[in-house]
Amino acid sequence: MANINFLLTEGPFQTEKWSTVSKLAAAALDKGHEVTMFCYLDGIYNGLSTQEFADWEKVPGDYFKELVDKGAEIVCCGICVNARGQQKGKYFFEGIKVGGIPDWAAFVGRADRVITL
Amino acid sequence: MALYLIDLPFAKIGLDTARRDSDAKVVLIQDGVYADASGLSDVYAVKEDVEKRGVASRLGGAKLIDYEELVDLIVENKVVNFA
Amino acid sequence: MEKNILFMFLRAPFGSIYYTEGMRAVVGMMSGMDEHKVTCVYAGDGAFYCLKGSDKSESAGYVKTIGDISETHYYVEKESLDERGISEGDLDDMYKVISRDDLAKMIAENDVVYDF
Repeated sequence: MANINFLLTEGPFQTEKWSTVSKLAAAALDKGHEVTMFCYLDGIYNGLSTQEFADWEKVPGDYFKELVDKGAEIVCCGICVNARGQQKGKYFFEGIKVGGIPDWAAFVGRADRVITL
Repeated sequence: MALYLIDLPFAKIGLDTARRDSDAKVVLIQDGVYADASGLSDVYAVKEDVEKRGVASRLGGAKLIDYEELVDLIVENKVVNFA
Repeated sequence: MEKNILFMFLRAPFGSIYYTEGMRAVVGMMSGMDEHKVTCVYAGDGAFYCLKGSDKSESAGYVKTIGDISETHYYVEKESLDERGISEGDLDDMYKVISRDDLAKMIAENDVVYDF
């Protein structure tokens, strides 16, 4: 079993990174690997529970919630969260945490592999 | 062994660097499947990204992989991010 | 566990926030419990940041903090400079010019390779 850390720096909808990351992380979890994720910059928007888009059955946030349910540890950069008006992540899905770069540095310390998207 | 994860914005320098590594494995991901990976022998491309863009016939000898296979490659090799 | 981390700054500076938030990340990586060792390389469009005239005030504080933690080198890649018509005389003194072969070597030597 390996420990894989993801760095996600882009938000949902605008680019396909949220989709690639969530599918890749889900595949890793299904194979029994440990997954940690640090959401930096606009990446913090992925964990919002308040996303709405009528054309889709599921919105990006739902996929990140599923990752947490499968055991992924997701931490968002607190400075980025507050800078973007997200008030300490009050609308994040439960289990998606707000922290800081020291959490990311610790993830990297524990990781066998580091992926950025 | 190193696995170069290549998306389009950094494809030129990423692939050029991979060409200097005789053990390089390359994965073209997202818009990276549009990149020219000529001169590299061990090239993979994410199947879903290739099929959406209709570029399978342009990819030469690249092996198409799903996310499960990409996870295996990631676990087996150090990852170099150009994505 | 302490890791050797290579930060490659590949995006054109100023058009997006990566050039300075990447530096904030470098500070955080070096100052955590694991005390990771970081090397910074400017390449691709990131090489534009090394121009003498570019405004480095936003990251000056990070550069100072990084210097206080340990001696850190900043490199810029020669091929990227050539491709953009930048000569070594156009660069700030703090950046040491390396070749793409050297970059490939650094990639091989580091445990983690980030693209900012």
